[in-house]
Amino acid sequence: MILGKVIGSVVATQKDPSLTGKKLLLVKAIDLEGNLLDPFVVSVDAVGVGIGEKVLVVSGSSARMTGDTKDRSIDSIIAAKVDSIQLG
Amino acid sequence: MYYGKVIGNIVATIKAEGLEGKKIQVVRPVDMNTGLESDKFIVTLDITDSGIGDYVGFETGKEAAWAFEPEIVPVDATIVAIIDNINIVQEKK
Repeated sequence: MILGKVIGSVVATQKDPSLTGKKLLLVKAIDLEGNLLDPFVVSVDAVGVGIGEKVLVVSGSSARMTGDTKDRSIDSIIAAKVDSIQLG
Repeated sequence: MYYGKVIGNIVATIKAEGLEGKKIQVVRPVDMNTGLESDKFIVTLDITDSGIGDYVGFETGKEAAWAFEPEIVPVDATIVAIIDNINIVQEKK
């Protein structure tokens, strides 16, 4: 999973029918200190997060392993909202 | 399977279905030959009882979800082993 920060949303009216009703968010990768990194991904929100929140992004076919995303053309989901990170 | 070191863990209360009760670890990949830690990191689930500082083996991609079978878990990286030691035998040329 990738650690990221939600930096915006994407609106698309014409899209694959399997994406209907899915919230698309723009997520930028961050390092463990919370600094923004270059890579970004458009991700389907599976938990209900807002802009500015730290999240975990699941990519690839694993993204389709939830009831809401099964058999849909989705390859990236926001799977969790990060509360805290403890480093050893 | 890739080789790495657990450097931290993450707490998340709001999660997708299937992730409830699963431990989330932060892993830094380690080069098997040199033992050098990468400057990158990956967030993984954990089926072992690993802790911070442990060297582990982790799977990525869909295989990471198979570790939890028959449960259906949306995850693309999972720690599947705690590595005790590695023996690399150099072949004579």
